[in-house]
Amino acid sequence: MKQKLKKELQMLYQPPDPVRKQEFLQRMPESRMSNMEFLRSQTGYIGKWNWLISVAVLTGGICAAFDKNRMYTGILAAMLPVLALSFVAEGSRSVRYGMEELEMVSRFSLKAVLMAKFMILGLGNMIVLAALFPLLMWNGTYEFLSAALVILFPYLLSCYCNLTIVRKVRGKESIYYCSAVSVLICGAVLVVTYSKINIYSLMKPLGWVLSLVILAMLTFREWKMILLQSEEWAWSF
Amino acid sequence: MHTDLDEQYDKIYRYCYMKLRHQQTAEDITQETFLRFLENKTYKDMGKEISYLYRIARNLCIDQIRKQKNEALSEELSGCMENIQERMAVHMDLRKAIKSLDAQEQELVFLRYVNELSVGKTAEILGISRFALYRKDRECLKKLKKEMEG
Repeated sequence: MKQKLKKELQMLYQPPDPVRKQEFLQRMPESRMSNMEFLRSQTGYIGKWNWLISVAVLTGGICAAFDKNRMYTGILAAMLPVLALSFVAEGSRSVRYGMEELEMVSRFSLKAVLMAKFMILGLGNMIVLAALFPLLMWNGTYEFLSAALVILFPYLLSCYCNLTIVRKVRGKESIYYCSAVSVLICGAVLVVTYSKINIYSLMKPLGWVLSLVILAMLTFREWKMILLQSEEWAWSF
Repeated sequence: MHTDLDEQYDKIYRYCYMKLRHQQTAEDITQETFLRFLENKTYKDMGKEISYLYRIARNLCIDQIRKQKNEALSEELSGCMENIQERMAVHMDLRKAIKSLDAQEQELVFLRYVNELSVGKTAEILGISRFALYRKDRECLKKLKKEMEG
């Protein structure tokens, strides 16, 4: 009844078409969007599977926290390259699918979209990684440095490699290379963990800290290079 | 680019036209409403403060009706009314039913069912509580049903 009434009322109250509408709207100044609103709008475009992977990694962290035999730690460490892969794959989706032309005619530049997506995903991953530290150190199974190595080394290595691949290899095939590299890192992590190789004895603690810092810097550099090149990509597509 | 503005323009114009029954005046008032709204607010506020937008339009329409009462109806206005009446003949029953409602009830029906505003926003525009609006809404529907059946 209500739907029928609504339709009839809308027909009854149908006014003649406005004459000066377009002219008036064209004179109106452009609407502005705040940075926070822009970030919120971009969050909606991020695939659910990304958040699911983050939840899976956190679940792995909780399992590792209760496991004194360090059986789950290897699995957790092997999940981190997947988290990194999801970060790079989702963040660079516009680039991979050749969306540059579309981005060019849209309201925001490709650079702004890439930056927003990487920021949102990076923040999400940072929260997950930060939550893993207390989980691994909770019952004294790991010290801070060893926890940092388990968590950050596979993640940063995978991030760096994947970002480099996305930057150097254009198009859809880059994701295959990224997946292959991530699988290799996962495998290497599992082999190192379960073959009881004492990886910590390979270098002094300062050496590991330095290697982590260098890896983080290289990852940041790659990310910056992608952002810088995004403008060039948009014009040379 | 102005999707929200575009949509709201049509709705406010329809609202003004419902009140004034004059195309040109309704359009003038619509544009004046947006200009006044944007003097104090931004586009972002439009979704949140839709009732404010309607209140401006309502007040401007009331001012216009007061002005018109002092002036004779122009030929254009009379002609326009005839057109409306012709068109309305198709919906005679509904028109009769609507006429049986008082001014506030007519406005309520318009806002809720023609411009599809939420209960909260409609209550804000009409200056009544949500509870009163629910009650009036039910009464209006009953009256309309009775008039159309009878």
